[in-house]
Amino acid sequence: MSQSNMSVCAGQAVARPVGDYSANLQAFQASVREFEAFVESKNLRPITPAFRALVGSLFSIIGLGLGYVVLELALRLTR
Amino acid sequence: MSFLRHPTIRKWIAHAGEFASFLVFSGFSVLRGDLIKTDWTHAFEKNYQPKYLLGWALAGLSLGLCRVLAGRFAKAEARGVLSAPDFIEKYRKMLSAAIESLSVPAGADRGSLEAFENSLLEAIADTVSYYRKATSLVNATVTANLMAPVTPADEHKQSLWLEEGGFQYLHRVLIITKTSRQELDIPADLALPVYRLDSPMKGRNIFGAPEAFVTGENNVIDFTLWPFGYWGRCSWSVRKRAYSYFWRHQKTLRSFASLPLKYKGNVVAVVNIHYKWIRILGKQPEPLIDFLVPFLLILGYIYVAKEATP
Repeated sequence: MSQSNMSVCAGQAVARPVGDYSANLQAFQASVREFEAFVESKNLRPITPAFRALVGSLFSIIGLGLGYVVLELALRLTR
Repeated sequence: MSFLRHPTIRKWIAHAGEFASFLVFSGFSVLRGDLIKTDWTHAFEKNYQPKYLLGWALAGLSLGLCRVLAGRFAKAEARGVLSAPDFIEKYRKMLSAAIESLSVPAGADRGSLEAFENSLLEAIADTVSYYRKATSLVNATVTANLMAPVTPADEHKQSLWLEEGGFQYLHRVLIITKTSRQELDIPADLALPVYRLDSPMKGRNIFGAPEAFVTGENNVIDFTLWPFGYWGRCSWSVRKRAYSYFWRHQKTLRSFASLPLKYKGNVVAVVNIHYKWIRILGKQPEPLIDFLVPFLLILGYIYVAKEATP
C-alpha cells in the first residue's frame, strides 16, 4: 500500500461518523449470518463411500475381536 | 486411494488402529497371559521362538505408535481446516465487522449492546461448529451461553451444585443470561456457585464455568460422563448430583468448554460452549481457541459496556 493510500485510509477511519453504530452492528450481524450459512451449507467432511466402507470394515473387525474377548472371558469365568 | 492423504481420514485410521491395538494388547494379556509368561521364561533359551511374547509386545508398540500418529494427524487436520481460504475469508469479514462495531460502543443503547452480544455468541458457536463439522464424524449442535455472575439470593440455596453449608461462603452465582440458540435441554435456572477465595470453600469450586471464573483459565471437559480428572476437592454429594445431572443430559450435553471473558485483566463473565458430542474443541483445542480469543475479548468489552449502560 502506498503512503498516500495509507493516509486516505487513516483519514476515513478518523472521519467515521459517531452515530453509525447501528449500521456497523447490522453489518456484523449480516456477516455472522453469512458465516452461519457457509457452515450450514458446506460439506466439510471428507467422507466418501470408500472411506465409509474402510472405517466400517475396520470397526467390524474390532467389534468381532471385542465380542470374542468378552465371550472367552465369560466362558472362563463360568467354567 | 488419494483420499488416504487426507489428514482427517488418516486420523480416523490411526484411531481405529489405536483401538484395535488396545483390544489385542489387553485381550491377549487377559486371555493368554499364561502363554506370554511361559514365553518370557524361555525367551533367552537357544532355538526358542517367543511368538506370543513378540506379538503381545508388537501390539503394545502399535498402540503407542497409533496414539502418537492420531495426535499428529489431528494437528495437521486442525491446521488444514482452520487455514481453508473460504473459512479465513468469511472469518476475517466477521471479525473486522465486529471490530468496526466497537468504534462507538459508548454511544450505543443497551438494546444494541445486547444484540451485539447475541451476534458475538453466534459467531463463537458458528466457529466451533465449523471446526467440529470438519473434524468429527458426527454432525452435532453447538450452543454458546453467556454465564454472568450475580449476587447470591435465597433461590440459589436449592442449587444442585451447592456444597452442604456452602451458601454463606458464596461470592457469586453464575447463571445463563444469554444463549446463541434456544435449547430447551439446558435448564434456564442453572445456577453454579462460586465461593469466596478467603473462605474454607475456596477449593470447592466445581469444574467448568466456576473454575474458569476463579482461575481465568479455559476449562475444557471432553466427555461429561468421564469427569473424574476434573473433580478437584468437590464433596462426594456434589459429585454424585453432578454425575447424575450429566447422565440425565447425556443425549444433549456430552462435552463443554468454559472460556473466561476478561476486561482489563479481570474475569467479568464466562462463555460456556455446549456440544452434543464428545470433545467440543477437538483433539487439539489450541488452534481453535486462538480463533475464538478475538471474539471473547470483544464480548468481554461489550459485556462491561452493557453493564455500565442503564
